[in-house]
Amino acid sequence: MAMGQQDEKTKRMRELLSSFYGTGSPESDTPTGYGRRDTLQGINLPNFDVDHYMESLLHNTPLDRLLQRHVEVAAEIKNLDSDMQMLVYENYNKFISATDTIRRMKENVAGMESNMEHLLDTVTMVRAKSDGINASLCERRERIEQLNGTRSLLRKIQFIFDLPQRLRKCMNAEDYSTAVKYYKGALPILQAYGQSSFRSCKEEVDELISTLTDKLQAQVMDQAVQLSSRARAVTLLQQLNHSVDSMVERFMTAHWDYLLGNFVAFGAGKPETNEPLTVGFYPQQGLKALDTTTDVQKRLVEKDLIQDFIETAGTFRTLFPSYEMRLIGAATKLFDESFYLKHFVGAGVLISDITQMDELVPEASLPERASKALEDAVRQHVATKFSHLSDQIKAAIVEEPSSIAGATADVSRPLKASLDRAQATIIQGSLDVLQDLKLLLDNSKEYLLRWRDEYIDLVQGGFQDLFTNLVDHFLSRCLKSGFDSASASPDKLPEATPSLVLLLALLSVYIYQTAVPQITEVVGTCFVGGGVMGYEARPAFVPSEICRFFHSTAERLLQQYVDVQAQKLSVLVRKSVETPNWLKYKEPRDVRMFADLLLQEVEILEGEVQQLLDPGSTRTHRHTDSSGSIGSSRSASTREDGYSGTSHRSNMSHRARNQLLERDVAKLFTERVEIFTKLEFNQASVVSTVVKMTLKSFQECVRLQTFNRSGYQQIQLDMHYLRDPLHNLLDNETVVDFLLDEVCLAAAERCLDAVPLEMAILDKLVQAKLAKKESSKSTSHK
Amino acid sequence: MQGSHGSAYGLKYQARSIAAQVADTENTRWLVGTLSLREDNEVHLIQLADNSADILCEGLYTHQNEIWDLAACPFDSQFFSTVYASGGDFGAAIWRIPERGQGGNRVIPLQNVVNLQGHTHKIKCTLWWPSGKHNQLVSIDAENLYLWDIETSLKTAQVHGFASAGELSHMASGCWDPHDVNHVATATDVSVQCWDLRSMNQTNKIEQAHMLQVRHLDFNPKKQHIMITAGDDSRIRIWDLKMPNIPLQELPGHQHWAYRVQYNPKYEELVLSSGTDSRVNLWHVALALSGDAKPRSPFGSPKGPSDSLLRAYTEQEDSVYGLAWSTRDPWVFASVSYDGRVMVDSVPQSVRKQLTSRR
Repeated sequence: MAMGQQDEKTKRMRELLSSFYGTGSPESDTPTGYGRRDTLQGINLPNFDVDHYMESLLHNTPLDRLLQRHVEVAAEIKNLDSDMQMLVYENYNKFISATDTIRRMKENVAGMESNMEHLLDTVTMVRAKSDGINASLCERRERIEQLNGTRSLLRKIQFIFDLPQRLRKCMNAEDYSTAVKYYKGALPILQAYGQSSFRSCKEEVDELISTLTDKLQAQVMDQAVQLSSRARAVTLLQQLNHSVDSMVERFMTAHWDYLLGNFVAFGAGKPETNEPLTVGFYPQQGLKALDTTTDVQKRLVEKDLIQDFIETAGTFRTLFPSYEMRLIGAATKLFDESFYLKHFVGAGVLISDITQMDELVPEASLPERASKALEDAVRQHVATKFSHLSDQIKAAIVEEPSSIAGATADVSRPLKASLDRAQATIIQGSLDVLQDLKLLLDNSKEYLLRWRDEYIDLVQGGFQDLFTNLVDHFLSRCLKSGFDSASASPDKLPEATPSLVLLLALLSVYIYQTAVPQITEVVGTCFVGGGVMGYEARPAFVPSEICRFFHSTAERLLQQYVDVQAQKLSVLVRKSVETPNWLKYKEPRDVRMFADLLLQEVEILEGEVQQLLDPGSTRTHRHTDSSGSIGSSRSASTREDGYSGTSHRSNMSHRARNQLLERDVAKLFTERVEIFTKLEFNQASVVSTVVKMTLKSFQECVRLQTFNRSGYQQIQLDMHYLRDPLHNLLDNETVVDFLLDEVCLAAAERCLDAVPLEMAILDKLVQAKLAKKESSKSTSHK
Repeated sequence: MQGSHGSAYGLKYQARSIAAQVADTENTRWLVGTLSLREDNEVHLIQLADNSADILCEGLYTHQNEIWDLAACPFDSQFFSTVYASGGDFGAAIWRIPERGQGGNRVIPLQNVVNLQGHTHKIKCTLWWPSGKHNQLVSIDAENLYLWDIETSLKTAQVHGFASAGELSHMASGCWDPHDVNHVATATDVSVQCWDLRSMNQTNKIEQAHMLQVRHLDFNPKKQHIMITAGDDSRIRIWDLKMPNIPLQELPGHQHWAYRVQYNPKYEELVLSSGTDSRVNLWHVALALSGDAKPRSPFGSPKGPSDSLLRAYTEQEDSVYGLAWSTRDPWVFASVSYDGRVMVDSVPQSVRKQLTSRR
């Protein structure tokens, strides 16, 4: 028990000591897991269970160990006691010294208090005295300040009163800048008191200043005075708040309008040479005239003008440096007004002078304006050229029908003549335009340099437009102008005659075969470059496209021509078939009138075509037996098959297939004739196509009728009569024979009682007809 | 009918007329009439087999006179009308297809329902009421136009109205406006005349629709006032009847007479035409056909829109006078040529795809 008490005591002692010295017990935060509370290691822990420790000690430990432990504990207790004593002694000494120090401090403070009170008294006394002195001096100081103000005021007044005199003196000495400086100094006072105290003085000053202003203005305007002093005068005037604007205006009116007048007079001075150029009637002559005769004189005038301009602008610039904008405006205006009237050639000459002008007035960007003006003029020129050319070509075409009507008697081949004329117009006109534009390009290299490519594009684009417009023009002239022009175009052209259509077709051929390649060549040599629009954009002039346009147009127009001719003949044929009552037709005695008319029309057609087209090959019809060709062919076997038996209907589709098969087999053995062949640009093709179309129409018309025997025989006779002349005209017997046979066959099919006339009778009737025709021709000739 | 080649069907005689059997929506059927001057003529009822390209004959009926035109009744598949002639006689009649006897494909005479009597000129065509059941019918001869009240059950036909295009005019065909049932257009010489059936007066006229005779015309099935014409000048033109002076569009047409032209009943962009150059042409007609979008360049300018010919069918070997779309399948059509061959063809797959994808 005693041991346990001692342990507890030791522990408490340690706690106390450690709390006194501020150090935590060293073991307190070392966690010892097992036997924390009941082993010796955990003795310093706050929750050390002494009883438990003792109990376990007593239980577990043998006696000798207990005794040994007791001895150890007793020794520890002793050690601790001595430690404590040591500590108490040390602290006691410190306490004593601290007490001493406190006592000494107490003594010192007591003495200081009386000293401080003494000091406070003294300071209070000093302040009271100082206040007294201050009060006595204040009054005097205020007075001094007042006097001071009055004095400076007086001095200023003195200055103002002296101002007129000073100014006068300065003016006499022509020392205007000093005068202005004085005036500027006095200006606030004069403005403040000018109406009251210093009225007279201000009036005098104002008078003087206005004189001064006048003088300065006079100096500015005086051209004799040196430029620098004039400039200084302007600065002074500006300092005097004098409005410089009015002066600028005056300067402008004085000098600039004069200059402008000169320019305008110069520009308008050549109306008689300029006018033809803009109108574009005789462009070349106009250009040359301008270039040669008036060039020297014009250059002289221009030199003067430019010199004037440069001087004036220079003066203005020095005088009114802050009025740059006004100068630019004036220069621009001048430029626009004068150059607008002038032709580009003049403008081109001016370019170099403008460079000089530009140095003076860089902001006005005169070169840009000059080239702009030049560009506009050139553009206009080019456009005029092309529209003129286009008009010429159109006129050459329009002329055509009238010449046919008027001068057919003496000219044997009027169509040929007008075709030649139109062709010549196109190529000559185009080459002239090119020549002219080339001349311009060569003559004005340095001016056009900047936008040479653009110019080339312009020219090329001009051709492109020209030709595309021509395509449209051709087509709209020819293709059923009845409703196209009625609603769309105000310039209503007379409906194109068939021969004009043919003419235009050939003209198109000429354009794409000859004219365009030729023009392309010239363009290629003279107008190299272009393409400012970049590589992606298409070039301005695309000859291949133009050729394609004209190629298809030519084909279409030729087709149109053939259509119109075939339609004309078809109408004739249709009337001849529809008019008679075929069911009550009487026995044929003569070939009908229409056959002669038909031949006549074909001859006229051939006459027209011969003038313009090559004879062409005689081989226009291919005889093919291939499938896929379109055309009308039926073999007799097919028909017979059709007429044969009707009883077996058991398997319809099978039978139909058999029928078809038979038909196809039969087809292989019949020669097929193509009726609708491709149209070519030669006589044979055109004439035969028209005849073929006509005969095909004949066949179709016949199919719509029903004939009696005589009616059928009449058709047979007509066809027989046509056979020989058509052979002669067409040089192609097969197709004519085929088609004439088709007509006869169609009539036979549509005939209630198809008994053909015998060949001999047919020949006799035809012979009789020919003889009659011969005799009537000879009588008419007599 | 998916192949690129059409199927053929041979008639015994020459033929001009074919008509789709409009009232039968179950089958793809046409009626074909023959044109034989000296023999007894026939009417074939043909059908395109559903799963093959075969053309089957579903009925064969005798019709004594040669058939110049044939039209199917739009509401009853049993009825159709023909325009016939024989020698100097001519007439138009409505017929009833007889019930099929036990004999199967035996040739049966047609039952005459009623004859349209009173025409003084050769009759050109008959027009049934454009759609639905109605008892009126129009018949057109070269100079006159008759409107009939038909009673098929009573077998009577009475003239309801009458209009004359004038002496010596040549009416070739006509078309009943599907958008306005009082309105019939006829192809009269080079012009197109429009008639009001209430007053029987001419209301509108395209003075010069073609350079030569106008052969055929058809109304746009979807848009009112739009019509298409074909003429002997081989051209095909599309018109807006509100602007009769200038065609909206012109198609190159054929190499000889353009004889028939028909809008597809479902896809108005598709136009079929046939001509005496033995071709059948399938055209694509742009939808944007309004007055403002007139082409600046003249027709046929190389800068203008390119050819709208989708396909030319060249299997026929003689003039193609008859042409009819199928009523059931909008991609199928039949044509008949003078030598008696019926070809059933179809619109190319690529065109079908294009049109259906646009819907």
